[in-house]
Amino acid sequence: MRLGLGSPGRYAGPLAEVSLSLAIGLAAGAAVLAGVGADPARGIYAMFSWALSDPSAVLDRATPILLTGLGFAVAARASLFNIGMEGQMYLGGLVALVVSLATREPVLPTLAGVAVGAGYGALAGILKVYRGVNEVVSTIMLNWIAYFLLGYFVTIYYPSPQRPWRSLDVPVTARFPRVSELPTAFLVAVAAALVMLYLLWWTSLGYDIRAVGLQPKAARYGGADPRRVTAISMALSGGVSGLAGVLVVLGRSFYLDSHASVMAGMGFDGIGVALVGRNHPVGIVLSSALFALMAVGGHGMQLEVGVPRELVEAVTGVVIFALAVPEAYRMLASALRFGRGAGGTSEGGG
Amino acid sequence: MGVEVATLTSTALRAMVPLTLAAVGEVITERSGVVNIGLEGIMLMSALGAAYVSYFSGSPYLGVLAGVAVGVAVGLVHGAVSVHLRGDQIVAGVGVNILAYGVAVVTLMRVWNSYGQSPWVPKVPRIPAGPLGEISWFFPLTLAVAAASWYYLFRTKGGLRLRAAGEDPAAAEAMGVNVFRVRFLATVIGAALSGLAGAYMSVDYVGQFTKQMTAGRGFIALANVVFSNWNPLVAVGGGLIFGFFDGLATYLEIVMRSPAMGFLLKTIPYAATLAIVSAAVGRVRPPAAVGRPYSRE
Repeated sequence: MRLGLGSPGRYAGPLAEVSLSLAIGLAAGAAVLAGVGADPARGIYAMFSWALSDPSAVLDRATPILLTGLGFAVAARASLFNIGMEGQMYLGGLVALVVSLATREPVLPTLAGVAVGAGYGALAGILKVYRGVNEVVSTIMLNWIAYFLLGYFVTIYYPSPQRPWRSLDVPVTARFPRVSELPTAFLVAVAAALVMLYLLWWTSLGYDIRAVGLQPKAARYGGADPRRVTAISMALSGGVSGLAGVLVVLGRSFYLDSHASVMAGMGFDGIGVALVGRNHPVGIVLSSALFALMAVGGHGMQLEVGVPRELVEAVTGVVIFALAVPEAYRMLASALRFGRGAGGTSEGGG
Repeated sequence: MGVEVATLTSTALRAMVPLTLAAVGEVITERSGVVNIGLEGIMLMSALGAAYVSYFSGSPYLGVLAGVAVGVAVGLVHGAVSVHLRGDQIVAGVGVNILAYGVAVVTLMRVWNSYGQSPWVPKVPRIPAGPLGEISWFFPLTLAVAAASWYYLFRTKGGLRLRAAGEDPAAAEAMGVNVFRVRFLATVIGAALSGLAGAYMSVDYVGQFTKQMTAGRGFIALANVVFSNWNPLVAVGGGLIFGFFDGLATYLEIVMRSPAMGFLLKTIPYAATLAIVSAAVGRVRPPAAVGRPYSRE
């Protein structure tokens, strides 16, 4: 079975790294709670119990960050650092809203949102290929441009007559339904993860993407065109990020506002989701659920101990920072294995 | 017309300060071989620290020191991760940016019980400057920092060693350069200058802290690094160009008084940055070993 999963033994190291980073992040969060005079145990308990009492809210929250996580991962597999999921998501959501007002059904708005997201992602890819513009800089600029374009269209062309800072509502016939409590939008996101899994490990395009990411020169020798792969993986990244915006608008909020507050930050959340999920679709489904749990539970924590739920952002930042230093874990592991004598190898070890 | 040119010029001069300071700092860092894309996060946390200290001490100068101290603190951690632990510098930088937003909102809520901004804080006094109205002390300071950085990098032995660490660390090490120490210090100094830029934002440029106040300026500064071809003096010119578009957007918004146009005008600095960088790349060359951890064999 070529699942891209490999033998179980391969997971021990990465799993330990991810767990340790999450533990460091939670410890930092607990330290902040204690520092401001709140009871950390009560705060963390409130977070998880609140989230687990409302599973459909967790699935709603997981849907967009699962997709932006996939968006980050497919670019990262080609060794690109796309942090433009935020803007790609905004445009996907905006286009879905506009098209749904005309078609009053969900299919065409979804396809249009995905296409525009893909185009916006490809734009950064093309700027990189033809102009050598670093994607970190270009995607952040494109994020801000998308943010203000969204505000422009929402308040000028599609404002709600009663509340002009937000848009008209998505027609009821164009919304993604819920089957009892289960949001179908979440099922669409999981399906996208399966498609991405298939694409990355069963198709020649996926092989090229992974080859370019690992070793561009060798990949070119093997027949992959790194420039084409760059543009395509950025388009794929933008497409799933666009879908994230579509599913927020057609699946949960049913409107947009001038500050995109129904989805703000969920593109950046995808970075943490993807890194904790080790840029693998299966890992990303799991980590999106974890991040959604923390985000939804943040409300519970805020109510229970009075610390703003943005503390969750700070924890996420620490987790990501901790994930940047696998070398530290290797050093820690060897120190534990060899006792104190290994401390002297801090700079030469590994 | 003359008044408008003067207004536009002074707006651009004010906007160029953070874009130049952060870019000059990052030029120093990247010349040594380390990338720090956490400039945005450092600026935000430094702006917060500066506003906090200025508010409670009543001294904007202490606020500036606090902003620099925040930059140094982040630089120490980023330096340790990038240089000694050979971590992924890009991932660490993103971590700083996300952390900063959480820290900003949590602090605003705890200290000022506000979700979006601090109250007004004491500001650094300005220098009267004839037709331009008044200019900030940070303007001459920025020029001096850029000139001194250029002199150090390109006219001193220490600067040569720093650049060698970023071009070919193994050869530099063979020449007797302590690559680890040079890269670590360059990362701390670069972050300190981003901290200075952040302090300027809150205790000089605006006079309060708001959670979105950096608004991508850390990334525009990164674009300015590329535009400058890793040269601090050219980064001043870049800061003026990027600052001009930043100021132009603000200025046109005031003149046109149309909320609809306001949204579109706000895209100007970002679109201009993209256009300028697209035109500049290809003629620039980054340090050969930038972003690649060095290990002694």
